[in-house]
Amino acid sequence: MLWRVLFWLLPPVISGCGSPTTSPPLAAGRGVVDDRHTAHSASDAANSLAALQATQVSEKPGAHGRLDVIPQLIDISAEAGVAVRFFNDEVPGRFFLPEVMGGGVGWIDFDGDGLLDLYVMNGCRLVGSPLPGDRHEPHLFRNLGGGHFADVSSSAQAIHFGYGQGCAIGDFDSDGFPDVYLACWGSDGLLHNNGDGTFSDVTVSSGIDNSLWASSAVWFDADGDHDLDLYVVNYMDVRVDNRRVCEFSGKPGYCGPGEYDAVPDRLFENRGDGTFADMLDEWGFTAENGKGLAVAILDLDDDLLPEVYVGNDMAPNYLFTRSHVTGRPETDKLYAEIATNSGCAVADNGQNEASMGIACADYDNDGRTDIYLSHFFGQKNTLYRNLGGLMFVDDSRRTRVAATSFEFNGFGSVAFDFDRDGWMDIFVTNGHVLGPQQQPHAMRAQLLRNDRAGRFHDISSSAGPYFQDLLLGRSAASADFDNDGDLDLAVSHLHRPLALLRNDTVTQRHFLGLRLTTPDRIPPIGGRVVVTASGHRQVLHLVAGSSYLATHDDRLLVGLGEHGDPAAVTIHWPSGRVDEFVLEPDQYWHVREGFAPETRGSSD
Amino acid sequence: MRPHPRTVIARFVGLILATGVAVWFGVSSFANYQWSQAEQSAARGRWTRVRGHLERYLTIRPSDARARLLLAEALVKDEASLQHEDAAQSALRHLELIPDATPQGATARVQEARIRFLILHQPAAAEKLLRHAMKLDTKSSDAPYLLWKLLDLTGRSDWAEETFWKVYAVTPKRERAERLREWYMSQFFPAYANPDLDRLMGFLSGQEQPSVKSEFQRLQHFRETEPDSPVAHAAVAKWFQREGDPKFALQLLDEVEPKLPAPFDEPFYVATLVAILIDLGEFERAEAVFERWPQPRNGYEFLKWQAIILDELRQQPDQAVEFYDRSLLVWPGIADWRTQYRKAQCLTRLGRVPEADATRNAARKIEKLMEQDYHSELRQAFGNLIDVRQLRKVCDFYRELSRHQELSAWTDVIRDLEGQSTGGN
Repeated sequence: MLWRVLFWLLPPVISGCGSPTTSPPLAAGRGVVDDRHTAHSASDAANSLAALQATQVSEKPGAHGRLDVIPQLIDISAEAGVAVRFFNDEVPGRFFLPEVMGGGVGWIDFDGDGLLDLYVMNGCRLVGSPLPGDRHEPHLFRNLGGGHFADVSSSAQAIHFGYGQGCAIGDFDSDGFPDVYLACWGSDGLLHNNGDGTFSDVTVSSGIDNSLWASSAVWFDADGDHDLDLYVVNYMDVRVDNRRVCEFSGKPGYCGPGEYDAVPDRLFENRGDGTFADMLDEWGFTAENGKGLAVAILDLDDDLLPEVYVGNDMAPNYLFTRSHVTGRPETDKLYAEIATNSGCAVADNGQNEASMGIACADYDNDGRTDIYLSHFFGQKNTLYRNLGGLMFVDDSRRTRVAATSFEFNGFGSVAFDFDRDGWMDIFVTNGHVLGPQQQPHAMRAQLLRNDRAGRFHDISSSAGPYFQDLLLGRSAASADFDNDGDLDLAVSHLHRPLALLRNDTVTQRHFLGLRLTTPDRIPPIGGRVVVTASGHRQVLHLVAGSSYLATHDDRLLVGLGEHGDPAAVTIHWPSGRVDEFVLEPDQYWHVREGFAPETRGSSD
Repeated sequence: MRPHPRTVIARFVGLILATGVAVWFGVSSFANYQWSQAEQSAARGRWTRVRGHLERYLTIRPSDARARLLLAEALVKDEASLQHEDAAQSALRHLELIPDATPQGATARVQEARIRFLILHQPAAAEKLLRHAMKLDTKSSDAPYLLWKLLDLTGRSDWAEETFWKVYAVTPKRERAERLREWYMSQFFPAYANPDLDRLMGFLSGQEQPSVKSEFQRLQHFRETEPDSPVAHAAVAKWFQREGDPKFALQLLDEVEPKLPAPFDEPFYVATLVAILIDLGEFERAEAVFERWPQPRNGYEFLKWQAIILDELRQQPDQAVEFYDRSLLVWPGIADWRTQYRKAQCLTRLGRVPEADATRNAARKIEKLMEQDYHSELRQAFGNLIDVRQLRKVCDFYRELSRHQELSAWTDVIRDLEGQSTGGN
């Protein structure tokens, strides 16, 4: 009954208000900068709120209007022979952060047979030597056609021993056969495709030396010298000897980025002789405090020079450009970092976001490519609308990207037009990172339909059984592996095998496939394609990288809608050349810069 | 000889009068005795006895407001006889009998508010009483103090500045440092600013420290005790929105809105609903709700949401900048680096790049001032309110923040401490 005594003594008794020095943690202070832990607090309390929230619905059926095309993305990984698990070496109670970051996937036609093969990263023992019988290696799956793959990792010698993270596919020596860069926690690796079905580990001879914790990586011609350079996104300085364990609701879990220092990214210049040199500082890719997880390369201002957009975890994102736009700092270096002035470094209210996945596309069909980012649980995901001139505005709320994302912890994100209506939709794979003792943990993946009015709707409940499963999704890479004119997805998870989501969506709508190659045999990143069919105009900027730890099919697949009329296609090559064609729909066209298009396959 | 009838009457009247005087004297003495016994017992903390004396006293002097006040206190403090809710209800009945016009009127309203807030957990009812008490007695310190705490504990610390400075104006010099320290916590860590009150009300036990969970439990409990209060529902909804679940927040408000009396008369409810709707991309509805913002249409929340609607919904960055500017002049605008950042984005879109840079730099400076390490150090400084060297850090903080009123108040505290030190020598 102490309360009764205290009661009438107010206010004197409460005047001390507790000692501020003994008050609880600072998170949740108004305006006070917090780390992920504020978001964690939601799960803290959520543990006791389950009953209250039991009635919650994520999106009411029908809220998005009637679906004119029912999406069907079917997991065929088991029958296809690619259902491998990422070995994350999770040791209960250790809470060593690399355990929960997952492994990447990359699409690669390594044998040049026109069928996309699949490279899947794998982990290994994080601490100590491998145990007897350990054989944790990445996998190379050869696409045999007919929805079947064969694991040819050993015979192809496509192996690098390391704790694999991202997977970057690119033909660095322009010999016509794509090579593989393996970003790792530990030393990265470079596998050269010998063109005979085998690979050679050329890490040492190439001079590439990155032992920082790399996440995503991407090949592109950074300096315009007609060969592929390599951007490697490094995450944080997390080692066995500085490992930390954090507490959430009194339970231990994985610490967030606030507990570790950033490490610099790497930019390896291709010297053209099979060796590389780090040009990060020389070329102006210097920026502070990046804790990068994702990277996308594309031309965001139509000057045919690619920008480099890096998603940093709870730190401002980077936008490196060669363009001389308003707000570009004075520098004599090739690139300058302008994300803050461009409005795409942080959320509209200045808050850092987690930026685990990137999906770039012209979502509103205004001719400018926008940037979608997936973030941490409790944060909104972000859609930066491109205003032109390298100016962006956080348009997440109006587009309902925010509304569809708060209860998810997003990773791999893919822009794709699943229903071929000429409006880009979004796939996001989700799953938490705090550890199994925290709720929510596993989450369902999402398919967000673009309603052609600039808003997105979560239609996952109609998209097939995969979308009902609770998963720890990580990387996602898209490709039309069966060449049937729609994009399929490879999605990696923790604790569960890779999913190969074949797009079985039935639609009478049409498509146009484009494979673009330059005389230098490098992807024309920086270029763009304008496709006009039945009065509907779409602008597609060629993108390298994006998603999380992934490499997509580098062909363009354009949804043409109901009408099967020929499409007017204008290709703006990075060289400045412009080619114009009228192409029949429902097939892939191979367009070499300066040459007439050739058909490459037929429609379903 | 028979007495004359007039004499009989006179004697009778005299007897009656004498008896009356005697009775009056006796009753008065009895009442005075009961009152004095009650006061003595109260001084000794014997509340059961106090109750007994006062109940007898009030049968004689039912309109004595002092006695009703003391009886209310006794009822609440008497642990022996009544369950505390019954005691609280009894105490309220006594307090409600004290008219506003009496000298004890304002105090009675404050005590009623205390009972309603701290025992019955009815902050909305308490708030009405406190605002009324402040009108009855403009110099009272109790009413604004309790109102300030009530605003903190119902998730409305952003709306408490005016109330705090009323408290401060009547706070004795010797208590001002403590009061300013409380204000700092209210400004920057409202959820954790009042652990003793949370303990008093049973939302924290023993040495348990405030947490997001205890904050939720408090707000949810208020929602249960006052289901008709728009503020109570909005506070819970705002908690969910802040914790990253605006969908559920909206669901809560949508379910309850038809049952609430005049929810749109409460600006906190409107502000919360607008914020949630904007988060969820329900822009048309957000605008419609915002249009219902009650008078007076001013204050930080109104100006901020007006600016955000112009910025994000109507895409009119020039007009948005004007409202952002106005919002930043009102507490907590100056500390709200997020709103300043929004303003910078508008300026950038308007092509006013140098202004945008300056605003962004200012926002960054504020953001730095809000970093955890910085505040950890500050809170160490607050640990010793007579350490001038430490308190100068607090002054530095408010100076950096351009909060001149707090700076001036802390400077006065330091000057007084230095004066005492010099005087001692």
